[in-house]
Amino acid sequence: MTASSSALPSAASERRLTRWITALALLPTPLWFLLAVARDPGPVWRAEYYGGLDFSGPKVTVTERRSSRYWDRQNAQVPGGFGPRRFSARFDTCLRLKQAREIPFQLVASGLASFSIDGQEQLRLDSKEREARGAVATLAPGMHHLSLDFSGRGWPSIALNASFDGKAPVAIPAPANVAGVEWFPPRPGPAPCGE
Amino acid sequence: MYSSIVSCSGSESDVRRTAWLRAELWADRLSILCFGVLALVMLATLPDYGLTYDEEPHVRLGERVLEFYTGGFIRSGGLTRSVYGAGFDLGAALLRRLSPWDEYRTNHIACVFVAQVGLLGTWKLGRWLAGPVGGLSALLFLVLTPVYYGHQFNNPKDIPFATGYVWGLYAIARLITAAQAAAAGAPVNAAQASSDVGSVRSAHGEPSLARDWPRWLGLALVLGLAMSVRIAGGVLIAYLALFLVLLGLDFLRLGQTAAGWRWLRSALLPLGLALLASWVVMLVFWPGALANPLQKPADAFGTLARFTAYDSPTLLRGKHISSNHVPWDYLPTYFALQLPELTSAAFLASVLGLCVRTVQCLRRRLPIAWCWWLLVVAVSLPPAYAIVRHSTLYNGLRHFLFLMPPISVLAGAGFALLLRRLVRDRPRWVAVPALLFALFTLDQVGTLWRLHPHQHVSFNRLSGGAAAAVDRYETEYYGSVYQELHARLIEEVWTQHRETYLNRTFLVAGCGSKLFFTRNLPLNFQYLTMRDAGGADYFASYVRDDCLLRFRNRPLVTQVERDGAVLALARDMKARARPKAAPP
Repeated sequence: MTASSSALPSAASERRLTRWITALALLPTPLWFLLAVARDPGPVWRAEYYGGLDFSGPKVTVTERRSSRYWDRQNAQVPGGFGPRRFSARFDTCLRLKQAREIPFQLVASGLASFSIDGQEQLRLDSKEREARGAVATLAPGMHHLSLDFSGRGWPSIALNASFDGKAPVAIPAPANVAGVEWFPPRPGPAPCGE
Repeated sequence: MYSSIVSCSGSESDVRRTAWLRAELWADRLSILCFGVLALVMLATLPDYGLTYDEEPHVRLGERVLEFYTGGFIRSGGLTRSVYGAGFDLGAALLRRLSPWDEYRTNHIACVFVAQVGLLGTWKLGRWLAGPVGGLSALLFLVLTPVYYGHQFNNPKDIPFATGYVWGLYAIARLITAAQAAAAGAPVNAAQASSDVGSVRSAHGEPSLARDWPRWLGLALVLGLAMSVRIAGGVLIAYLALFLVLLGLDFLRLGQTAAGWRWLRSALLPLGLALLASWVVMLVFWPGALANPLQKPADAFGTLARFTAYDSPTLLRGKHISSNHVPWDYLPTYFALQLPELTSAAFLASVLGLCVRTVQCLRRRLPIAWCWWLLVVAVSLPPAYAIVRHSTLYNGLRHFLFLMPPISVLAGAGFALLLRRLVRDRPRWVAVPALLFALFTLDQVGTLWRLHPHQHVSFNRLSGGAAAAVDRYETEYYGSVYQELHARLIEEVWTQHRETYLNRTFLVAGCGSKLFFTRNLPLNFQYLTMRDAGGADYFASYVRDDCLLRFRNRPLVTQVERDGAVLALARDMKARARPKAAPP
C-alpha cells in the first residue's frame, strides 16, 4: 500500500493532534475543579466548640460549611477532641437579603438548642430524642445575624434548615444559589455581621 | 499489526485511498468533538449521581493512607489488613483537602477525571491498532455502553482499575509493535505508520529503545497504578511475559531470530527496571504492603481470587443464588445482556476475523497480529479464571467492568477494518455500516438520556431492556438511586404536609447502607433499620434483595422509574393499609 506523502500527516502534526485531544479530554475537569476552588466563598459558619455542656471549659473555634452535624459511633469526632456526649457549641453566620422574604426555618436537634436571628430567639428545643421545630420568619432586606446555641444529649445532632426557593428546607447555605440571598462568615468582635 | 491484516492483498486506487484518508481526518475531528462534548456533559451532570456503597470504605482507606504519610508512618490495623492499594483513594483524599464540596462529591469529580483518562486510553489504543477511525469507534463503543458510562461517576474501584488496565494494554501493545517492527526491520516512519492503519512500526525516527525513557516510565506508571487499585493489575505483567514468549516463537517461525534477539537484549534491562519501578509505584499507594512487599500482594491476590468473606444473594434469571456458588455462565450472561448488541456483534466479528487472518498469516509466513491477540487474551482470561476458580461473583459484571475498554477497542478496530475494506473493495457498501453505526449512536444516546443518572441498570434490547431485567437480574445494586428517591420523598412530604413537616421528625426505614439515608436526607428524617421498619413513617428502598416487594399493602408515596423498571420507591407506613381485594 502506497500513498502520496503529501496526503499523509507528518509525525509533528500527529503529535500535535494527540496533544490537543489529550488536553481536551483531560484538562476540563481539573480546570473546572480549580475554578470551583477559586470561586468558593469558603465556609460561612463560625463554630465555637466548648469542652463543657454549658459553654464553659476549653474552647476551639472552627469554620463549617453547612448547618447540619450529627455524631454517632462511626462519626464520633468533635472538633477540639471533646467527647461527643460532653460538649456544647455555638454556631453563627451572616445572611444578606436583597429584598424582604418570608423564610421557613426549621431547627432539628437532639439536646438543648436555640436559634436566634439578630439576637431574637426564634426557635427552641429541649429533648434527648431528635426533634424538629419550625417557624416562618419575615426578614427585612439587609444583613442578619443567625446564631445557634447547642448542648447535646445522647448521640447529639443539630441542624438548621431553611427554604429560600419554595422547596423543602435544607441545611443552610443550600448548595444551589438563590438570587438575592448571600451568606458571609461572621467577623470577630461585637458586630459580627457589621450591624 | 493491523496492516498485516489488511495489507496482504492488492493495492488501492489513489482515489479510494484519498477517500479513506479524508475519513480518517474526519474521524480525528469527530474525536475532538466527542471528547469536548463528553467533558461538558460529564461535568454538567455530575451532581445528579448519588453516592454508592463502595465509596465510604474507599474514602476511609484514602484518609488512612494520608494519615500514614503525614503522621509518622504508623500503620493502623485497617491499613495493614487492606487487600487494596489506594491508588485512587489517596489522590481523592488529597483533593478533599482543597475541595469546596463534601467528600462524596469530591470523590465523584476524581472518579470522572480518572474515567476520562480511561476514555483517552481507549481512544489511543483503538487508534494505535486501527488508526483514527479505530480510535473514534473504540471511544464511541465504550461511552455508548450505558453500564460503563453510569459507573464512571461514582465507582472508586472498578473504573480506576479499568483505566489502569486499558493504559497497561496500550503500553504493552506499543512494546509488541516495537519488537515486531525491529525484528522485521520495517522502515516505516511514524507518520506513515499512523495513517497506514496499524502498520508494523519501526523504531526509525524514534529514540533507541534503551534511551526511550518516557516509554519505560509510562509502562512503570500504568502497571504500578493499575496494581495499586487492584492487585489483579499484576496480570498485565503476566500478559507482557506471555507475549514476549509468543513473539520469540514467532520470530523463530519467521526466521527473524537474530533481529528479534537484538531487540530483546536491548529491551531486557529497561523492561526489568520498569517492572521494578511499577512495583515501587504500587507500594507507595499501599502502605499495608510496605513491610512485606512480595508476600502481602501475593496474599491479597489469593484472598481476592478465592474471596468468600462476602456471601450475598445475587440474581440470575430470576433466581437468587449465593454469590459464592454462581454457575459458570453468570458472567457471560451479564455481558451478553448488558453490552449493546452492536458492540457484542462487532467484538465477536473482530475476534472471528482475527482467527481467520491468523490462520492466513501462519500459512503465508507473515507476522501474527499479536497486539490484537493481546486484547483477546485480556478480555477472555480474567473471566475464564473466575469461572475455573469458582470465584465469588455478585453485582452482575461490575467487578469486570475493566473488560469493557478492550472489548470496545476490539469492536471499534474491527469496525474500522471493515470500513477500510469496504472503501477499498466495495465503496458502494460503505454507507451501510456507517449508517448502522450512526443509528446505533443515536439509539444509545437516547438510552443514556432516558436512564440518566442510572445508566448502570441498562440491559440491551435482546434481554427485553431494564423493565424485563429488573426482577430477574442485578440492576440497581449500588445505592446511587437513593439520592433521587430521597429528594422526591422530601419534596412529596413537604408539599403534602407542610405544617407538620416543619415541626416533627420522620422515621425512614429501608434496605442497604445507613449512609444512603444519613447522607441523602436532611436531619429531620431519621434512619431506622429494617428490623424496626414497622415503626417507621416511611419505607424507602431500592430494588436490591427484593426490597420493593416489602410492605406492598402500604400506599406509594413516590418512585424512581426508568424505561418501565421501578428502581426504588417510598411507601407511607403510617397511612391506612390498603384493604385486600375481596375474593371473587
